[in-house]
Amino acid sequence: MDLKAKLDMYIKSEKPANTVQKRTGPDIHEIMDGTVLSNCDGSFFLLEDIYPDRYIHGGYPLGKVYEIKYNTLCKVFDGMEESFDIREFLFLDTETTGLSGGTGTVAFLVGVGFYKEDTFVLRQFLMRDYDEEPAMLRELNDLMKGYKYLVTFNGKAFDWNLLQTRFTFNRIKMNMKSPIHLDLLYPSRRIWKLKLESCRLTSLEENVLEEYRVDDIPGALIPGIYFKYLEDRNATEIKKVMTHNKLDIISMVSLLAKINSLLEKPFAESDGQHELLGVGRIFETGGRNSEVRECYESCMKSGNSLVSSLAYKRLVSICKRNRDYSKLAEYCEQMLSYGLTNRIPILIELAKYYEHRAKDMIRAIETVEAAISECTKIGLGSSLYRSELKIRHDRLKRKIASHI
Amino acid sequence: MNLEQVLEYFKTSEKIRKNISNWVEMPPREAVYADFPDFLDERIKQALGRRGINRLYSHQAEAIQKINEGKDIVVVTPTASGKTMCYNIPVLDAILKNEESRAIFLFPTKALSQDQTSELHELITEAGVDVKTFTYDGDTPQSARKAIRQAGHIVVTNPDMLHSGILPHHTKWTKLFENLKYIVIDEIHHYRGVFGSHLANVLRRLERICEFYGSRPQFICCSATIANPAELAGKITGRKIELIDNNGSPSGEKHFIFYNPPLVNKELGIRKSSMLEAKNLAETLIRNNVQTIVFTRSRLNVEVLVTYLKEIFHNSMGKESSVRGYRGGYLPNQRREIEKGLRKGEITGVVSTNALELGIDIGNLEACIICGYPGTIASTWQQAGRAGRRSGISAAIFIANSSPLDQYIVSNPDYFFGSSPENGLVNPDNLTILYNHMKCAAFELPFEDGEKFGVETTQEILSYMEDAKLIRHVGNRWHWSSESFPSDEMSLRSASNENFIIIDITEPQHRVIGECDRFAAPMLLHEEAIYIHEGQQYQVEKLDFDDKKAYIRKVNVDYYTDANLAVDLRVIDVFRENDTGTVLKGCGEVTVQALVTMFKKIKLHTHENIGSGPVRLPEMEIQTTSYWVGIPETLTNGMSQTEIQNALLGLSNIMANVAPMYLMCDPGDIHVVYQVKSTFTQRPTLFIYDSYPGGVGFSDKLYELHKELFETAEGMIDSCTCESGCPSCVGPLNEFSGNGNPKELTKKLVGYILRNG
Repeated sequence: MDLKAKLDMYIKSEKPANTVQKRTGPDIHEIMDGTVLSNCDGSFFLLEDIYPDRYIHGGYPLGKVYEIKYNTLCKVFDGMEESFDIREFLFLDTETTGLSGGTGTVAFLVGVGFYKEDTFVLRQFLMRDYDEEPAMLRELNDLMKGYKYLVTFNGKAFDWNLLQTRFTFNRIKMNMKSPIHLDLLYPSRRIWKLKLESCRLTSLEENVLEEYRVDDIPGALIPGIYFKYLEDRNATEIKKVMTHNKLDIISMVSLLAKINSLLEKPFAESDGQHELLGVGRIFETGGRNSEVRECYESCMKSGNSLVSSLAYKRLVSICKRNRDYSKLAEYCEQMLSYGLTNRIPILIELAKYYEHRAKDMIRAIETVEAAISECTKIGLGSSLYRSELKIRHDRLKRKIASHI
Repeated sequence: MNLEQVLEYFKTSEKIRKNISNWVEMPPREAVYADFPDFLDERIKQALGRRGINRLYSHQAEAIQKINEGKDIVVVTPTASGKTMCYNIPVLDAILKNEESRAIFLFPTKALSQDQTSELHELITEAGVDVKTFTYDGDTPQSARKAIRQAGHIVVTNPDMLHSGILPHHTKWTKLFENLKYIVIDEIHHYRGVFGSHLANVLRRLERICEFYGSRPQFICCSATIANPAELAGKITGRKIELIDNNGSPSGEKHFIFYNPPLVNKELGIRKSSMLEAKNLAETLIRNNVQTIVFTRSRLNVEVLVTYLKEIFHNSMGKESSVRGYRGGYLPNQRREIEKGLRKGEITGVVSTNALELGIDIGNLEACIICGYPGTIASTWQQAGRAGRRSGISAAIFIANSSPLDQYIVSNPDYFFGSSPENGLVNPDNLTILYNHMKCAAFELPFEDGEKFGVETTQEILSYMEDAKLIRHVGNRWHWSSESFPSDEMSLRSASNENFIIIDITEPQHRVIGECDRFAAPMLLHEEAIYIHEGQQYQVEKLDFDDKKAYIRKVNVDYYTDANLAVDLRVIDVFRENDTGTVLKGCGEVTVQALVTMFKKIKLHTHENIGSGPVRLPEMEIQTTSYWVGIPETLTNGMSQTEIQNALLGLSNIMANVAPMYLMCDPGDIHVVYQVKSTFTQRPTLFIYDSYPGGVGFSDKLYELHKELFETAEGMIDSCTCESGCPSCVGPLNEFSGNGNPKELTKKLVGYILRNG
């Protein structure tokens, strides 16, 4: 019995397809402008696009990024230096043969973008087969030499990690050893988590930047497209992958500008609701106290009940932290005046304030009674609230009696 | 009474003495010392000196010497002979001489890795050197992993983690792989069968990666006493291995006692419960403050015996709390506390499963009771080694139960005390296992044209893999070309990912209690089958064949079930064959088709057939390896068809018990079938085949052990006291038809085979 027959017998899960794909369409250089570049390690395909910095994407010209400031961004990105030059920034995105990482996953397409004079230059490095990887990485490494900052979207967990693996694997010493890495995913999540179901780049692009892609390739299909291209050398779909990669990079530029604007002028730039709340949270962790309150107070007034009540909760906790109880009562009263949400917990918070801080038992008991009647009104007569309120009410009655 | 007096009492008490079938007194052994080798770093010598160690035992010195010469070694010495020093010292020495040096320590279990490294930590602390040792396994927090990858000198891990957590991410471990000097494999005899065959391939992958980074590590292996330690270590590591077995450690006087509980039913060969006997003997020892460990075969038995003993000592001051149980399922803290209690002598009696058999430090106890044969001689010695001090006397008592294997051991001390007949076997070239690891290897590093991965046919297999669209050949290399992450798709421990899961649905909270390989599932898990797990009966309520799940519920019935299996075995390839003209032996590849058609309900004790039912499940087919023996018809000329059948059945039953003794496997790891006239050999033939597809090396070894197998079978029949057959020898009588004496028929057949090849 020959080996092939035995393998057929033992390896039941994998049935070889035995059909050798013949070339079915044009290769990459026939349908795209780029060039086949060669160096000492071999060759690969390189595509360059140059955009003027007044080119508009996502509502901003690409040159908007010139305005980003250390003071604005240092709160969301670790390690930034006070004085920097935008020409030291390298925007990077990869397309890979799998999402699970490990040494068997390859970045077959690496796209980078950078500013040069008054343009934004976008270069895409494509390996047309596995043996072109060393040449491609060599060239990429030469380019990376001059850059100090790296901008990615989820690059910390994925792209940069994978690229480092590829360099080690090919024993090329990376010129960009430990860049200052601005991963846009993390601030994006904090700002838009509440507003959007998904904080993936394509979702942000549509909902925040209001850019809509036509005939785009879903990321999950990309590895399969590459494997198919290796077989049949038909680059029609690969062309779409390259467009996809290009758009990812340009969107990262707009997104960085957007994040900077939001943090710099939250009231003017945000929707005044979800986004503002997200910005408030960033300020809160950054310790920018006065701005935090302003954001949250504005959110409370927003008229959106979810945003409003979340902002109220943040404000209450800030007041408690600062022992600023009269302000706390003010927020409660204000919240009640909007009449938006479940009033009972707010009334309880207020009753606590009157009882323990203001020591005004009469107003306390009035507030509790208001809460009790609210319970009855909305059909929570026998709820936990009700029993908690009952205890509070009884205690207040005793306290009042003992004072008379 | 002290232990000596208790032993004297055992010898003289009529009640106990009559059950003792064998009593071996092993005299104390003097230590054989050797000086520290000259090349050893001063700091290590001084650190050892401060702990009172000024020279080495002979085997330690030889191990260190051989390692220094660049050899790959396996050290085989008994429990408590200081074997960890055989690897701790050279590894530490290498790191002290070159700070960049790295080592990997592989242990089969997590508990063991923790314990074995504590000794290393002590030595490092004592020497006052900066050598970083880290455990890297599934429990290692993400935050700590980066530091370990960068800075760990010694990475302590297990084969599973190496397979799925380290090798596929080797670029993150460049420091380790560039400087890897030693790979330590402790308890290498654990890596047998499927697990060992997997490990051999994991190490093939490791070697490729080391070569990529320019290192060539040496192997330091340790094994319990088995028949073929160097062969096993050689197959697993792919290196030529030097054996070191000149044990120089001292030991005190030791008594090894075989205890056979009295017969209660002679025809059925049923004896008094070994558990009750263990209870009585343990009681005597503990009552006299002799620190004792009792090993039982199951977790359930641990609890039962602990309960008995606690009841007995309920009224004795403080004694009750000095008896404890120990098994898997206890919380780590609780286990640490019990281990400490044993070391400090606060606990006088502990009842344990084989969880305490491995090198976990519990100090050295005085007495050990082994309740039921642990399955292998190697395990028995490891358990017995828990009692025994470097000076002073100790005792180990083996209590047999009624099973054929226990009865064989208890009545054949030569088998036990002679040189080990047990072989650790692996088959690194098992096609299924090899192929799956080649996928992982291709993922880790592209294969080069002409590269060999263990087998000559590497390039052909790669072509096959390319046809399956997993890899792509370009520029003289084969690149991984798939989205999948191959090492995640396979486990090193379970035989295949096609196992059936067994779910207990007695309680509202369902729980998985076991697994069963695909091939055996129709036999053991058909609906209405009685499934026995840890001594508890369950009935199978539903078998979901497509989802590979069996749902079972606890029952208490007086019968067991036996499925009728129609087996069709065909030989498809012959590896080796020897035809003496009369008896033919061979081994090779076979296809086995098995169909379960019906099952019988058989009453316990009386073995009456009390009912039956149909089974409607698809036919199972596996390809595997087999050993076979064909008997010429000249012998069977005078025998009736029924007599031939009975003799072959008796032989099958006895071989199902004999073969595992040599292969160190579970009875379920092999299957035995006979054919009255095989279409392949054209004569009555017995086949013993591997349960695992492709085989894990059993059949080849059986072919070599042919003669010993039949000698042991003959011995087993001769030493059995029954009249014409019983479960301890050729099988229960109700399995046979006709009037002949199955025992005599089987003996005749065995005798003929022995005398004719």
